[in-house]
Amino acid sequence: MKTKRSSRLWAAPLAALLLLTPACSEEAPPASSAPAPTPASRAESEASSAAQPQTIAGLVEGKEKPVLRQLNIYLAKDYNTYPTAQVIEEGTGYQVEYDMLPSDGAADKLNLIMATQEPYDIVVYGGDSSLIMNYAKEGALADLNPWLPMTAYLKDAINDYERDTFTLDGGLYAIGMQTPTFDGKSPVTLTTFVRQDYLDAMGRKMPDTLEGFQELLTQFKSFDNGTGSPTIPYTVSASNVILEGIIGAFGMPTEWNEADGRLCHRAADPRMKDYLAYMKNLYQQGLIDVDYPANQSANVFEKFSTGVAASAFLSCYDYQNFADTMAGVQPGAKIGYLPPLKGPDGTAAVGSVSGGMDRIAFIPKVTKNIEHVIHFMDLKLEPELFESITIGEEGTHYTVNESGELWPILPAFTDERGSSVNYYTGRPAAQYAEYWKLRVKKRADIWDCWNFINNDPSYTGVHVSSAIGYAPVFASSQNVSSLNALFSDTCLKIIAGSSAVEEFDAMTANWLEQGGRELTADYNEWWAGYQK
Amino acid sequence: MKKPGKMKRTPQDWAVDIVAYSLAVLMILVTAVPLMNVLSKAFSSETALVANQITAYPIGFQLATMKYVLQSDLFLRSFGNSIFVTLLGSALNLAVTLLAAYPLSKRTLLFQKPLLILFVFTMWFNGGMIPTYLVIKQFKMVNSFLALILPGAIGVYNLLIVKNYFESLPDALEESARVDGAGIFTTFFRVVLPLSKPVIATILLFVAVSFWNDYFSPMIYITRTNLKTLPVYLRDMIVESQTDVTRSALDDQNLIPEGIRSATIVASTLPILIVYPFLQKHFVKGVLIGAVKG
Repeated sequence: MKTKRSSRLWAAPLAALLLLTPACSEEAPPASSAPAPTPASRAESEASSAAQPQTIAGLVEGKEKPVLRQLNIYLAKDYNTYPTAQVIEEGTGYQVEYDMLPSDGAADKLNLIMATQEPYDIVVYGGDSSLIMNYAKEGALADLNPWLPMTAYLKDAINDYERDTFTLDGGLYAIGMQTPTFDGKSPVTLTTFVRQDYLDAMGRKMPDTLEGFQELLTQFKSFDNGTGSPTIPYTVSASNVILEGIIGAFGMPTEWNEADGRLCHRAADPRMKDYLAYMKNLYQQGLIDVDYPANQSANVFEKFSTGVAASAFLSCYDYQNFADTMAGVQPGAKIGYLPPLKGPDGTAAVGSVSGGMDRIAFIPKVTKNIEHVIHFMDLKLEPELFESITIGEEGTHYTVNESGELWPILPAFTDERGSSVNYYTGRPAAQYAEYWKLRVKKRADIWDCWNFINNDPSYTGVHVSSAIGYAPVFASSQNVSSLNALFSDTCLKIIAGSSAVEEFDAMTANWLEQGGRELTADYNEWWAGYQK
Repeated sequence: MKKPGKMKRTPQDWAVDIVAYSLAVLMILVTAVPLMNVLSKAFSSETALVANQITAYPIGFQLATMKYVLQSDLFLRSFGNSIFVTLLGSALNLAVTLLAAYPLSKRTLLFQKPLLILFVFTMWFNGGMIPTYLVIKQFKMVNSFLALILPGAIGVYNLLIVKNYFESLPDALEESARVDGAGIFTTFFRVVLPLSKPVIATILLFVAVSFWNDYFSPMIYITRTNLKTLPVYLRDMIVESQTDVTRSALDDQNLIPEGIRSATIVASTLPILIVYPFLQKHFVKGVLIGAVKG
């Protein structure tokens, strides 16, 4: 008796530990997580016995709704008390207990939770699809394919890209939520902000060529900004070594650029040397902030908002971080946007990457409520409820103007729906893209900026949206972060450090050696198939 | 004859004093300036903060940020959780430690040495993170305050300090109590404990501070938002505002303004800052307790 009990006590931890080891089985999960009966057989038997249609709603009808446990990524608010939670509970009839991962080391904590088989019914994580696929390979996730045909909305809310990304051996293991695109293009958000009023005071127009920009910065250097500090012509945060709108002049608007039908990463592109030489020259002449290698975004906000910096490389969303200060310190400030610059051959380009997911939802195999979870996820996509979750109620959270455009009502929209993005467990991409614009409209300045750089002909005419984000996770993708670090560190050292531009060649050799070659081969193989 | 303590000070004495005081002032500045900076940021206007004008005093004094923090549900709940865990954890820890140390301080206890070795063994060896997590999970203590309190319910180091202290008490006291008819419990509660106030105060302080500051256990065992303790709340908040979330095209979350961060740090440090001066003497005394066995 005693032995039996103690062996049972150890069974679960050992089984869980097995999951941790790379050699773990891909077979059925351990005993503690009783596998759900196959939906097809269950549905069949229930359908025949009760003559119910094979829908997920029919499957759970009459059964008591369990309290679902959902694990989410970090949010600086309480998921359980945020208004969206209430909307979801009322709309679906399911009570959900939300837990969340820490903001620091979320992946480690998720690994621990998955390895020890914490009984969560749903997990919603950020965009790391390779992590999720690792769980799928280890047999820790429930296959959604058998269930999808029974759903009313969920099956239509997954596009091919989202489906392909999380398909493994014929099973679908997660629901990806693609980052919104507009007319198939991912929006541009980063650009160079220029103090238009300084430009006006100098009687200059916004430049549109590399030389023109350099001339402008040179003129800025001796410009009296009235703050008592010398003008910093251009300030950039150290995390930005590739400046959108400038790199395009060198023919490399996106990370991977096509030449003769083959994809080439910037790290292996000899044209990078021209870009680096241009940037290094700007830095050496004191036209880029001398603190560039040490700048954090807060430093850039500070310099630009106080009028010390005449231009800065920023995102539209940064307005919320510096604009109020700027209005207080520099009341007359006006901001313009540098158009994508033309290179020596007259071409300009600004790039963005389509594809990529911002949220991924999956169901751990340990759940005992899979029918209910699927039903819950399906109900959330019922159009009216989805709208209510995403943008709230007309008249309370948003209004519709004469031309049919949606506008948020502040602060209700931000306070009560601003964090809704974290509650999705699936979403229809096209509909969401329209709703998503409301989030950009939360501030007039953000919307003006976003609208300009995504709709003004100076940008749209040269906007290249690379499909590279649709690429799956390759085995060689595991090196991506170290390869990216190698690339950007070297670039920064060349631009603002003692390294010569020629050292880029050595970096390229290194980059290829450390996995870049395999990565390039994988991307090209995929690209050849993708284009067909 | 010169009075003791009124010796004439030599130039060397002065020199030593000047160096010592300068070093002390320098050390105070090193610790006080960052504190002043955070304090100032908590009460300065956002404009001054983004423009990076704050040094050691507030610019554009305002109380709105502090009010916002003190009215934030999440902050108050984590604060309450920390107080609860600290109070309950310290009380339990103290009770268990004292009750275990007393018998172990008696040489007449059967198997005293082997028992002691078993305790001390856990100071050198432990199960490691994953096995411990599995045990906690097996006992259904994940997402429960018990996971923060029970595993640390007895600190062997503290146990040894208390045991040494008990051993230093004269046996004659307990013998005389027993002669007067007191049983073991009466002796322990009426004679031994009242004499052990200094060591109890010290241990209590050590334990309470460690519960208050504990970051690791809640980070590992707690995922429920309303069970988070203050250190986890602070860490989440600070890390989140350091990542460049707004630069991502995917998200449009706002950075947590520096002012709110500072006000939260100030508000969460305040209780310890207020209590500490009153307990400091015990802390200093406590360091010596158990150091010299006499």
